[in-house]
Amino acid sequence: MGRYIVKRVISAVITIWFIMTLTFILMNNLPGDPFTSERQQSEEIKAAVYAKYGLDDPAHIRYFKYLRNYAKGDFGVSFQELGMTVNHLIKVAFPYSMKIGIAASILIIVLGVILGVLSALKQNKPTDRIVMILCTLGVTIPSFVLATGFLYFFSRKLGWVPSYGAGTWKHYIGPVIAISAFSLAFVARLSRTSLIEVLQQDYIRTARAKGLSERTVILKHALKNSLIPVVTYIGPMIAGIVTGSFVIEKVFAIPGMGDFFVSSIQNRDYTMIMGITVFYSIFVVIAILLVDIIYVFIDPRIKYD
Amino acid sequence: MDNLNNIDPQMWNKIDKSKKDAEKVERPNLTYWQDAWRRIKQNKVAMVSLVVIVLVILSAIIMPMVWKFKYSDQNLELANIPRKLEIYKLTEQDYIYITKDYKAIKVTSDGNLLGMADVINNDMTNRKRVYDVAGKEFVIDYSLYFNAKVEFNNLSKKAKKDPTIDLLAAEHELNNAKKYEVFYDGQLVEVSDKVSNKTYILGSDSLGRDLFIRIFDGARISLTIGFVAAFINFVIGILYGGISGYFGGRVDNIMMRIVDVISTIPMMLYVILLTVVFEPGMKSIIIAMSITYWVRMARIVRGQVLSLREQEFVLAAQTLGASTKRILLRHIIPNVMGPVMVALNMQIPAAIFNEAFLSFIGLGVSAPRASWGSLCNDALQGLYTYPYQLFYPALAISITILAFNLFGDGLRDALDPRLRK
Repeated sequence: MGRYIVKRVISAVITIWFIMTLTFILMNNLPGDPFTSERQQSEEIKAAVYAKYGLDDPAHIRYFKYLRNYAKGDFGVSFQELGMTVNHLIKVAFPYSMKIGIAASILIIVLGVILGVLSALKQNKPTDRIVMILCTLGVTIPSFVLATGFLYFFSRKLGWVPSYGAGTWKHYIGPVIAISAFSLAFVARLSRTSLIEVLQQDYIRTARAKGLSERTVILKHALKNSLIPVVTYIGPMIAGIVTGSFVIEKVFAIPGMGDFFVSSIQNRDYTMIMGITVFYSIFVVIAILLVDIIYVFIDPRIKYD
Repeated sequence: MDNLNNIDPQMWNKIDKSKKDAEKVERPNLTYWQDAWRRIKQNKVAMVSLVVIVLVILSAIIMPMVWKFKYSDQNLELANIPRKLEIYKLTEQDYIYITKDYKAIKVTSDGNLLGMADVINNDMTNRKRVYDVAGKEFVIDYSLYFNAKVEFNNLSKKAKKDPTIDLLAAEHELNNAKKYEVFYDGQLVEVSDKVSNKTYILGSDSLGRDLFIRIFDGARISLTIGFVAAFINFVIGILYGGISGYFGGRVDNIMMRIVDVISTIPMMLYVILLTVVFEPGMKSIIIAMSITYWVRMARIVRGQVLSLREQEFVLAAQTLGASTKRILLRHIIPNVMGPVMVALNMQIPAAIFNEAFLSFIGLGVSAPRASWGSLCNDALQGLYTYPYQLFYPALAISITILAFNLFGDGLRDALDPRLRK
């Protein structure tokens, strides 16, 4: 098991290096440079600015400098807004995204599992049908449609929740629902299939034959094992929440990281795009790594080498 | 007993083997695909989905060729006009529809738009617009909303000091209040009828373009991206997975480690990055999605190939001296097709979904063309006033993705009954 963990950590480090190199190559091949603007600057000023940001160095020197900076936790500065750095953004905006992300994760896992278990226990009954129809709709409707629909009905037509900003808990209802829907539907389907499969296993029959109550059979014997596939979905779920936040924060005007990312895309603020991309990628890779390690402890049936 | 004696002695003779039916094939031989088709035909949901998919594709091809408008035709006078019109009857021939920004549009009684009414006076200070309809004055007085708005602004100032004021409720009230009054020849007139818009059957967008044809033109773009991206993923995935699985051993190990690394990267971020680098547009979206989303396909193919290459028919082909290329292309890949087709079918809606997502954050095709995602994005600004502009493209995306998903489920059940859930 120790070997597996070491192997996973090494693989994650390679992934992060790969991500950073890929990002560097892509950004290095952009047409134009951050200082291409309508205003003509004199050659001297240009050279001075280039020297300040180290843009006149050859590519490999910039590459190592870039790796060193990122390793120290410096994710770069904005080339369009004076004094704006990615680190500052992480400090100011990321907490908003994090709040939504954590709330969404809890909603997805708790409600997703509850719905899945409910429909597995009532297989082919009306409850099951309704849950499955909702799940199909959940993976069909894009999150931005859900978000805008929510805004239109609940804040405009009914006036129940405020339409933009991030002041009170009421502001978070819409974003959390919209960002969760897809993964929620997925988790519900996943836990349903998995529980149905587990309930057909021999050890469940044994447990029933021993005369255990249905409650004990399901809660103690079936549920625990059926939740293992759900754990594997946590990685993709985090990636989904991160990308989902881009549109959700835009629609609900939440001053989070995703909103800034989208506006830096629209302003073509390349260093910001690069910094946020690398930050988010590393975040997701580490999250997946942690999930994989936790998984080893949860599922003793699998032997790792 | 008598019956036994009556048997014709001929019956005891041996019959010729060729006359026996035991070896006869009663039903026609079904190939794998014919068998799958037979099974999927019994699945009503899948068949309905297939019909929907075919209809969407056909109408995306045909509609832009036959419709009265082009996707780029615009008429600024007739911007933001919804599907249902509340019209005011002024005389027997003259009907007026009033837009959300208080302009009077002349319509026929059955809902054809004729154009803006002639303006006599646009009195900004008193918030009145005066038009000439059939020689008489037609007045739109929108000071009502303006006064309400002033009151609301005062209230919101007070609310800063007094937290007991429910601003949310006040805003709600403001939004649903009556906004204007209209007078014809000095008389107050009320809405006389509700008709369907005959000119723009799904309404027009903020530049006065026909939403209906823009949705079908958007379907062309969204579907093209969906199909092409999925197809390229399919080709790359099949080659990569096929080679990895067939050679096995160290090659497989290295190739799969690469796939492991790639699969933990949040792909959407890199699709965004690639689209930014390549300049937004249909081509770059396709390129970005094709070089990122093949990993799943490669894994499926590899798993299948790994088990197939141990089978006897591969050994037989090798013994007969077939080349590696021939074994891969003729023997292994056709047998992998079942699960791959299911994955491919799921890749198409995923690509449409992702394209909509990219367009929505402003990385879509450039104007005047529009995909479903960019139509939704365009509608966002006027969401509260013109919700229909978001509703129809969103409906198109949802129906198409739903159809692909349901058809995919059916296809999976039909191609591989073992996977049935």
